[in-house]
Amino acid sequence: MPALSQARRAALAHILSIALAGAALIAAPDARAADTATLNVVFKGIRTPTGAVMMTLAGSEAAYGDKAPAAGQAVLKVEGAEVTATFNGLPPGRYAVKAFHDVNGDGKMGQNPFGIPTEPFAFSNGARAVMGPPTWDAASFEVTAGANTQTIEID
Amino acid sequence: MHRRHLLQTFAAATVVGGFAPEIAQAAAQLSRGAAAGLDWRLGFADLDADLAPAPMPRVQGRAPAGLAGSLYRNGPGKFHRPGGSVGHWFDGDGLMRAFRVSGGEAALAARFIDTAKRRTDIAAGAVVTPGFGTPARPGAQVGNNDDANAANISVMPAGGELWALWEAGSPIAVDPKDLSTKGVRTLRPDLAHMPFLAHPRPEPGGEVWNLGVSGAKAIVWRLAADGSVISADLTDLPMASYVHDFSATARSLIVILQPWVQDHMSMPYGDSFRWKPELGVKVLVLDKADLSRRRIYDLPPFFAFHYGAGWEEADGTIRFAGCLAPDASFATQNGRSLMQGVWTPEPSPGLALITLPPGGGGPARIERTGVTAEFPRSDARFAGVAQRYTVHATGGANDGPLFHGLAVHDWKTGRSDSFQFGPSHLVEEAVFTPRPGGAEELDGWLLAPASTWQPGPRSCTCSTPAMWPTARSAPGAPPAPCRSVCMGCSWPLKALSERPRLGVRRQARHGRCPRSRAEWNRALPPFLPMDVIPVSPQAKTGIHDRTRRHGDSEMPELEGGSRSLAAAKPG
Repeated sequence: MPALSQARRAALAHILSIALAGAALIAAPDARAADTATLNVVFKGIRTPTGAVMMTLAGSEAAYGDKAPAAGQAVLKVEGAEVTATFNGLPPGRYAVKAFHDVNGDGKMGQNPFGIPTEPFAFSNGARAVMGPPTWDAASFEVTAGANTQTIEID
Repeated sequence: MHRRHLLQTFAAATVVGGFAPEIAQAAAQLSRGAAAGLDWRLGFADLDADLAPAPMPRVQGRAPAGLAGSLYRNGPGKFHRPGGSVGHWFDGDGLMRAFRVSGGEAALAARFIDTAKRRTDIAAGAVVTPGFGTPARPGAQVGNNDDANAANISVMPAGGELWALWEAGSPIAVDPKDLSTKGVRTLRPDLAHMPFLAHPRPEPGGEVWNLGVSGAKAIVWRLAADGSVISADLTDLPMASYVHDFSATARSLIVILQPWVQDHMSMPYGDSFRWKPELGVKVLVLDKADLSRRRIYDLPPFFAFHYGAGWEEADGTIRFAGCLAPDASFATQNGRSLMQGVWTPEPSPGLALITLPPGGGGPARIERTGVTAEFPRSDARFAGVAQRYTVHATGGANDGPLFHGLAVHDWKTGRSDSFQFGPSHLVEEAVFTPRPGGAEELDGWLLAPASTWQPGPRSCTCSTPAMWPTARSAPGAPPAPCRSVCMGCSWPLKALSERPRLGVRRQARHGRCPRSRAEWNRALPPFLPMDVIPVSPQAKTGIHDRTRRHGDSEMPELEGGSRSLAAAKPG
């Protein structure tokens, strides 16, 4: 009894593996105005200290659905149980993070032959997958001017 | 481990595996008026907590010399939660039970499999995880198949562990000693969360074949006895059918594609399928040595959950048993409604022998015995080679979804020797375990837990002397002697013949069990505990000659037996 639909599996895999391979830490321009925000995205609970966490920061529902450019992307080399990405100069607003842990370092999200992810993945705001990625409403969180931190359990 | 100390029986308890002995709740659910026939709803009562190991008082009879070990049985045991319950029997939490026999004594323990699904549902206070007939509800967390893995269908031994099996996800390992959950077993990193059916086909040498199915694709698992992967290959299926079980011979895998076909994906998963009888049944035969070598047969439409072991004759003819139903109505309707205590009468599946001629040898055919049957089992030592006997549950009737009897079908003679426990008993699947030193087919015992309930002022030991009380009525447990669910009915196979059988059938017609120990004793010879049924030829059962024929691939006697089946029609 496959628990995920093929369409949703494909969507999930696509979303999580989107164009992250080889991407370097990409931060928004430095803060130049007092009303911009800094966001620290902390990934905790990493069990296997290999590979990298690959993440996308979406600044809109369209970006979250891969229909618009992302606000930021990062490849975070994993050497312990925790890694952090920092994004500066973000306009305040709602954001969402989707990420996977590329445990084997092959630059893509592992899937089994039936399309089910085999490497850990996670979303912001504590949102959990239910037969596919969580909705924008579930995964998005408010970023305000100044310092912000979003902590995500990924493994 | 020596066979005397560990009966490596493993039970595929898909449908009747979930008798949860939660006596108080069950009793509350039952009508006192159900005395003559056990209310089938008892089989679906919740068990709210694990059962610590407790001795099962031996009410009567004796354990046969040589029988020692554990019978493990896995099935759904928890269905209801305050914030929402399962929508289908198949979505209950996996409950592993261990019946341990040693030195003539027995004990029962039961422990739920600690699955991610169960943890999520407990935290939510509701069954939120989607499944076969249950929708996803708020709070569900399903990132992969194993997040929804109920581990509730069957159990197999692997590398010193028990593997609790579902069918759409990984095995979940359980410690055979204390039944604690050891965790999901990822058979290979790149194959994490792949489906693994609950009815693998072990070979006598220890290797295990299994399938995992998704749509019109399957993964063919070949495992060593220790559970390690020898190979795992993908293959295409001719239809996107619901596949719960398959058959196998020494040389071939037999995948039966029934016309309950997935035409979209939705949750509950069962809603993804449509009954399309116009498609008929397609039977895919795969060569174990080369999965690209395949042939496909057509058969008229039927639905089945379970098949027996197959065998292949010298000319390539393949035969295997199945328990065939007219359609998928149990999966789509009764399996759901019985969770609300509603049962719509429908015919029980019937035992049939399916014959696949060698390539170009003509069409496949179905020979129906007319015997109601589910859970076909056989002597696993002869898996893949010609077998004479199929053991199965029987006695299912229109009064409910469960079974009241056991039977041994002789494919040589077409005779079916059945034993009806009567409507006061809900009988689970039987498994065969060989007698130490025995070599003949079915030389050993059948073990089959059953549940019964005798209302009234008598204690369990008085009113149901054939039963072993559950742990609840065991010493040290809360007393519930008067409304007790008793598990472990025991009947010697010789009760299948002559006077005892007639006596019990008469009781069934009267719709009641004997009222006293003396009455039982008059009707039956001494009981053996816990459905320990000797089926040895040496037991002098008087049933029939049990001359085994196997080892070569020819079984000419079966030809006659098969032909006689149509006339046999035990009904």
